[in-house]
Amino acid sequence: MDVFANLATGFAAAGTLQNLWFALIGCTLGTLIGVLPGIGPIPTIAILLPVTYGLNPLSSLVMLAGIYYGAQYGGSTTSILVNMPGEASSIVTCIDGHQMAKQGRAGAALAVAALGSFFAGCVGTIFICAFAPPLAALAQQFNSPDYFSLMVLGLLTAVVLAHGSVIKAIAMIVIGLLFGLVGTDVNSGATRYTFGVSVLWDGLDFLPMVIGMFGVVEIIRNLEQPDVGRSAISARFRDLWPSMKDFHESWRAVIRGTFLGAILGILPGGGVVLASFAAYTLEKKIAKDPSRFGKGAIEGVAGPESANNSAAQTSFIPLLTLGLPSNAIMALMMGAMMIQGIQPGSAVMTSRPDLFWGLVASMWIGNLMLVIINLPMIGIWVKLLSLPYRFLYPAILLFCVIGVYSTNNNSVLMVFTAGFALFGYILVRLGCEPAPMILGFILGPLMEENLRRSLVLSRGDPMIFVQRPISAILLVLSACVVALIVLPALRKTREEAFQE
Amino acid sequence: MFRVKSPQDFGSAIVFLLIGLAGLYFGKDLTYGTAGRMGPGYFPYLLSWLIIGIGVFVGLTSLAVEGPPIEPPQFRPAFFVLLSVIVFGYLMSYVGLAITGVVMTLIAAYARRQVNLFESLLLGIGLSIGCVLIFVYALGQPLPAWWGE
Repeated sequence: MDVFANLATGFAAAGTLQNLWFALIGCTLGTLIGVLPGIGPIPTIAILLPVTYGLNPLSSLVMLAGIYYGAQYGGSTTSILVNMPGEASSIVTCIDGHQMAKQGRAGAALAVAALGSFFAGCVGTIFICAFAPPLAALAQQFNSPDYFSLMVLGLLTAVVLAHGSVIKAIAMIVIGLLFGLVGTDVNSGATRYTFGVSVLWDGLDFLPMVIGMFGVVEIIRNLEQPDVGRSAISARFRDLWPSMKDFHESWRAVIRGTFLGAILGILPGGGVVLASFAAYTLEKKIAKDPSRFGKGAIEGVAGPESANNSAAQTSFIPLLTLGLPSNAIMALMMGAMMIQGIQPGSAVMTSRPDLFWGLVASMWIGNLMLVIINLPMIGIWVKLLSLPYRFLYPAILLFCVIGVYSTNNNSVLMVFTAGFALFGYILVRLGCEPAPMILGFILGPLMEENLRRSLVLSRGDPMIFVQRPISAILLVLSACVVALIVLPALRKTREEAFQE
Repeated sequence: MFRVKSPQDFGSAIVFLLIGLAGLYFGKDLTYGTAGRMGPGYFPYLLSWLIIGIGVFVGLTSLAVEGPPIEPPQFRPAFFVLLSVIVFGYLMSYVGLAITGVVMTLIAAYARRQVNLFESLLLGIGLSIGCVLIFVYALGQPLPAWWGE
């Protein structure tokens, strides 16, 4: 089988001392920010982007990916011990995980979360091996009109599967697309929306935007909340081993969660949050005795924690094969690849197999590292939780601004950061989720380029988008997605799904 | 008379309309071109109108459908956090990371009501040393550590 040869290439590439080191850094950092509430993977990856300029492409991707799935592990620790989700994807874990901790079964909950995540991570890796090559082969048939339609479909699906108002999310995407056009137009050389500021000629740097709208806004919002004392339920390493009964009750939930997460992760806009919510709902629906949920049912921890981890892995599939980021984090990964001069898409697998398979292999290695980082060292992470926010936020803020400033030592960037933070703050107050804007921002120039090329091909006839079969299919799917939103019956199901 | 039933949506509509109109206004000098030969202004123009369209739709809906109110914003956290970000950018090129880090921590401390200057000063010094060690020495970022060096 080709897959084994490919995986061998991958493990050889990921197994170098340097890449193992960066995987370890990424996973540790990911766990850290997963444990700490108030900073998520989006600003962390953004802060570290300037650091990756000097690294080779594989090392930087390995580290950034490690932060993403590491955060899924860390997030569960906070949820279980403190009843406060470190990450959005761990919100549902609080429900039963913290109840278990209160009943003195914190160790079992943590162990099931970590081992379930490890299993899910392994399956996720296999999913990538199985699905990426055929998708990449399909993507090689794509032409400009197909890519344009694919982006339309991807963006629409991302909106429907995310929570919150659909129409406002679409607006955020379009605003992101518009912001993405700032700078010099590659075709005509005309500068657009630069207002004579020379920093803008190369386009709006996405770090001030991402860090302003996610990092800084998050700090402001946390400061608006009154201080709450966090009391962690203690857990020691020797209490960690789950009993046979726990094991027996949870293994099926782990498998169900893993596969549900893997499938939802591939969908554009799917990602970890949706996966964990869906897995919890599923477990509750099929349980013999649903009333146990909310009172410390171990399946309520095992399912969602496995699901968010496998989704974290498989959400790389659309990016690595189609060049389409499915959520804001993947948009950042795409940015990281482009900084390194790599255009994400089907070509990566053929032109840089070491990079593609190396990243896949590093995810498996990273998952193994995470079990070790998370279980025996649980005491250290618990200690960190007792750090009050008044010590934490100046540190986070300082990291945020250093991250932006180190891109090109220009103080104008800090004004942009503050401006975007203000903008993001207003948006959050108005109930607009800013994450879709990042997707639009990254895709803006690509979408324009593909639209332009398509219309040049057809001499201005928009019918080209329905005459090409691939593009037509993608547009029909997009129409179905829109129908999902508009039809009231289906809309109700969606709202119910997010009610949980 | 119209009554705003969903203040959040109404506010969003105003933001969308402003962005769409700004997109049109500041893009008015860009060549529009034709569909077959898109000028630099074609796509921005399309997007701006799309945003305006959505803005109008959301605005009209907010008059018809009940929605959540806008939580009143708190001035203090937002002001001091944003101020510290801007001051950071201004000071960095003059005095370097070590001093800027301390000043920034002190300004950020005022974002909370209970300010403990001594504690924040210690925290700032500690963070500054840590950041210089991590970012300048360990990661080799081209940042001025001390007086613009």
